Amino acid sequence: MSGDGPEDDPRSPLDPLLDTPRREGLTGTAPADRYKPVADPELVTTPPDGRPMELQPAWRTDFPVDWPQDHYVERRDFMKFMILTSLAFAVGQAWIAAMSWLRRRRDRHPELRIARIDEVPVGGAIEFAYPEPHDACVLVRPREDLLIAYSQRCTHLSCAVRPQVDRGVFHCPCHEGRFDMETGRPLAGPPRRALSRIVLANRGGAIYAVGVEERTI
Amino acid sequence: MRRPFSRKQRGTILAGMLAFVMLLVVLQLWLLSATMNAYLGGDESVIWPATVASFLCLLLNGGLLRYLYKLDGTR
Amino acid sequence: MAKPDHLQFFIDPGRCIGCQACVQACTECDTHRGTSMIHLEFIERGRSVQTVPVVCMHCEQPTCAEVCPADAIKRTGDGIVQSARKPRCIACGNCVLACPFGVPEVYEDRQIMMKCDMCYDRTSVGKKPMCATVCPSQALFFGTLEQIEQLRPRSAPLNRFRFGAQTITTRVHIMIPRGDAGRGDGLDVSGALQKHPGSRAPRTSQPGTVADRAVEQDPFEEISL
Repeated sequence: MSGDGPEDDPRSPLDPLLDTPRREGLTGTAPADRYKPVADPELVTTPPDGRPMELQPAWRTDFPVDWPQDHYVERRDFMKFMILTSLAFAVGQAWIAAMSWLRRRRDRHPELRIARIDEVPVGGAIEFAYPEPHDACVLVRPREDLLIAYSQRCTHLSCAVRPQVDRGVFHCPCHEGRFDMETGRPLAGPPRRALSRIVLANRGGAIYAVGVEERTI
Repeated sequence: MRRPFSRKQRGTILAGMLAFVMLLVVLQLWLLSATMNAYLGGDESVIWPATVASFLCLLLNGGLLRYLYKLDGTR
Repeated sequence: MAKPDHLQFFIDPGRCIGCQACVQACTECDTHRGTSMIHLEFIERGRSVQTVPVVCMHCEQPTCAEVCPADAIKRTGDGIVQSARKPRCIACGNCVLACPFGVPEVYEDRQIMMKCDMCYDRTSVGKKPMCATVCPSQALFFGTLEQIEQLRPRSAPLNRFRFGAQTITTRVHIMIPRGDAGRGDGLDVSGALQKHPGSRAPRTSQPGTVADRAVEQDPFEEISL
């Protein structure tokens, strides 16, 4: 900066190149990329005690003052959070597997007498619970020769579906879901899966529920 | 041999890893929703393969996480 | 884009004439439109017409960022300490209390701290900050070190300041008389406050008495960090 040579004399005349057309940038009109770009330093901040980063507490690397480093820390933490989400999904899978194992263990389909055939009116419905006392089901007879039973649990969010025999559909009032009466398949609204069908058997003029048939579509 | 990476290089590596992690997480999300649908529909054949696949994804993610910690160590 | 490394900010308080041109120009800057970030301080208005423009000194060890509980104050890679990041700032005012130069200000209406960012939209493309473009006496100067040495042969830039036990190195330079430069380790700001130099000192007792010695004692002497 300051030396003894005549070229370093601070009283030497002004830099003749100041404000000349080649150096407009120094007075504020030229784009910065005319000059050598600034090297992006790893960490420009010096900690207040002046010691090197290796001797600093660990939190200092997690709460950097430098904006580029802060970007890095933000994305790193996002990645860690996504891996935590990945763990949650895997645990969810394991939970499904455990539930399926439990369901298979206690899977039993007792026979349940619902009603005599002549007790079911044509165009009417009879409610019953199968296989457990809380699993509401409904038996419908849309035609003289057709008896069909479904679980009342809507496959969307488990609301109770209501038979509308004259229209040939089951209607879920929660989200306006509709199921076809003869097949149980979804016709409209949010549900994507068919209603669980109760397998029926005719034992000497009486209707028995003998099984549950679940379907994915 | 391990070479220390500059912050810019680490940022690029992190972006690549993050892309992988996002891909795997979306795959796991799809597996979970599809398996749930199959389970509720009574189809149990896909549950164990899907669980194994999901845990494989988690394993890959864990490996990437381990590499991330290593990456942060080389400062 | 980043501020070119060879362009530096120099403040020459001795040349400030208190015309407020920088204050007006500062409001025109696009990074803080309509709000002036520069402070024009009056020094002992009763005795002197001396004024000092205060811009952010862009410390190497930004105390404002160190004390921020919300991790909102960040420096870009070229060493410019930016205003608080809007999603994080909680307008607690810690930075206002902590900054030894008194630069940050909390705006209660918009719940954010805003401070001088050296007109980052301009300096990041190699232009001068607003205040430096308008200063008629060039008390605020933005250019190369060679330029300032050519223009101010009797002054020298200084960027180390001591506040008690804290030493701060800044990106912005203050021009001080060349004879005083390089004397000691930076400018002892708090020391100047304690000694009550010369005629300005409020005399509480005769020199040499017990009370006078008490004033000269360092109040932070017993505090070890």
